[in-house]
Amino acid sequence: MSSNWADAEAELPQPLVTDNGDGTKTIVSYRYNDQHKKVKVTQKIKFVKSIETVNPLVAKRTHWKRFGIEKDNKTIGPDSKTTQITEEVKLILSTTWKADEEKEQEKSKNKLTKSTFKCRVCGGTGHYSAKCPYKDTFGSDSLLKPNSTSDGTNNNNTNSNNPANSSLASDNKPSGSFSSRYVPPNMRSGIDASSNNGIPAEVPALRVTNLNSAIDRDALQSIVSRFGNYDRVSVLKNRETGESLGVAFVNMATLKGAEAVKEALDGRGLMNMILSVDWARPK
Amino acid sequence: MSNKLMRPIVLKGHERPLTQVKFNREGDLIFSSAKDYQVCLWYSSNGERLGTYDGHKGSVWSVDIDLSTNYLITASADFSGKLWKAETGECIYTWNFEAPVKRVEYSPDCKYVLFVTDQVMGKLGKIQIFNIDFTKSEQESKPILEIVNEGDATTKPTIATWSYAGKYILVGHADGGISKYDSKTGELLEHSTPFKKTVTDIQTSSDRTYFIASSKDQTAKLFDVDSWKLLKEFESESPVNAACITPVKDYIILGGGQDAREVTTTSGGEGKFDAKIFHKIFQDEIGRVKGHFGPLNCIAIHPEGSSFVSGGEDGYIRLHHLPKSYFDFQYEVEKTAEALQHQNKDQVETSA
Repeated sequence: MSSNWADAEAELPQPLVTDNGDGTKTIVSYRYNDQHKKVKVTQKIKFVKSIETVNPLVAKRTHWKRFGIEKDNKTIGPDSKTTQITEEVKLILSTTWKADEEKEQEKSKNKLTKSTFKCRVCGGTGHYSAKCPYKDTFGSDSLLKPNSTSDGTNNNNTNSNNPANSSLASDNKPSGSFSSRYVPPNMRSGIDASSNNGIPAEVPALRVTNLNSAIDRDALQSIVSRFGNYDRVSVLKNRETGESLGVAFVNMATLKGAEAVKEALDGRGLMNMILSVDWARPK
Repeated sequence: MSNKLMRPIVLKGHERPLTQVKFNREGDLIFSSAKDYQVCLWYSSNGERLGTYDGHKGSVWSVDIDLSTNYLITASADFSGKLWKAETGECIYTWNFEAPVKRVEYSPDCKYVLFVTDQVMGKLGKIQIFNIDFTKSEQESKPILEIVNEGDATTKPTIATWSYAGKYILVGHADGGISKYDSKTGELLEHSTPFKKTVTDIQTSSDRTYFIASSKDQTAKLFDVDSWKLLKEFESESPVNAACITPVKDYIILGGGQDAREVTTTSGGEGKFDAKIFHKIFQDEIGRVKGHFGPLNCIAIHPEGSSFVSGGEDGYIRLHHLPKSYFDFQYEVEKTAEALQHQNKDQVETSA
């Protein structure tokens, strides 16, 4: 044996193969591991001969040569140009397959709305979009929970500047928690004759969001006036720049008028923005 | 989980809508014809395209393969039918007709071949039967039998196939009628009009004693060849373009969908471009296979029932190797019947 350590690594005993007689073989071999230590590897291998019977005609046809357009195609096996494996398809046969499928769809829908992604602008779930023009059109989550989206809008306002926030407050506008369900105006708590700056309590204010910043008070007034008399229309503005914040409050003279405005404008596009009209939340 | 999943293979060899797909007898090869003048040959196990049969100058409407998988026959809108060597793609013989040929099929013994020609340009719709002899390269150019459409263009034959032993010819008509002719004499034996619109497909069971006919009127019906009785009825919610009877399991697979020209006018999400699986006996729809972007024009099932292919208006062929769930499905009554049978067997054994 060589005394040279470099040669020592090369000298490993030959693998030893023993037949166990029961159809298995044991192979004992040696190798060096990462620490240059000799490791003994024992493998027990069973050889199984699987016989597949193929119709001789079929077997013969597997050797057919390509012809026609494929004559010069040298690809071994299926060519990805003409043969593609698709997504997995589930096939469950049942007499109630239609109901099952609907259930599945419902489930995936729920999954979608329960997803955790959040809108960058408002922090609400169910949509992504900048300035959220489609926040009410994507998924049902934002509709179910106006809380999350409108809270988000408030946050946004707070971030952008403080004066806006104060104007919000002075307008007696949303803050804190609010039930997601629509409550008829006369059933709402917190609506007293004393609040709302002397505006009759029966007609709650409408909160119009997602307004194009180009729309000023006059423009909104002219739109709203089509549905009846209004008491007050105010568009929130950045106090320093005078730029519209895209939020407005509308007080209609009659409840009917207010409802007509909400019906007509909610979800309607105006100057490339999809309006969202809801009852303003009482304090 | 995995026994419910399958991975369909999409075969993108055609650029135009598919007109027919066909397995050979052993089911290892698939032949497909399309409106892009091409006929393709595929391995059914992996979807590899083996070759194309080039030579037609019009839409190829129909394709058939003989029992030995040596000779392919095609029917085309270029007024011709062609006989090909399946292995090499070489055209051996061409029949010329006076009108586009809509359908071709070998008789069960492969000694005859039938062609259905269209009723256009003043020519009458015909079913023509020719002798065929593979030992000779030259075939007879004259038909041995002609069945000519006696009505007007609305009753022209659209589809034809052979019954058991090649005894009868089963024909579907454009007016929704089906008829049975004697294949030797050409005599009309049976005729009825079970459909309201054109018959799109007729495929027989593997023993050819009963058959399914499908129609644009959104139904498919099962008939007995001998008694000419309506056995079963299957209703779809869109026109049915193809129907086949599955071996092994008692199912029916229907393919169809709205007409291509109507697709743009209807909701895309509705689709209905699915292969629908019905139970042959109970007539219920028990499942669907989605995937095509257009109506399904043709369907064929592997002779051993292990896979099926569908060809669509979208130009794609989808090859589905059926998962275990397809074979496991049983109605409750079937399960109980099976259990009872086992019980009885046990009792017999114990009493013996």
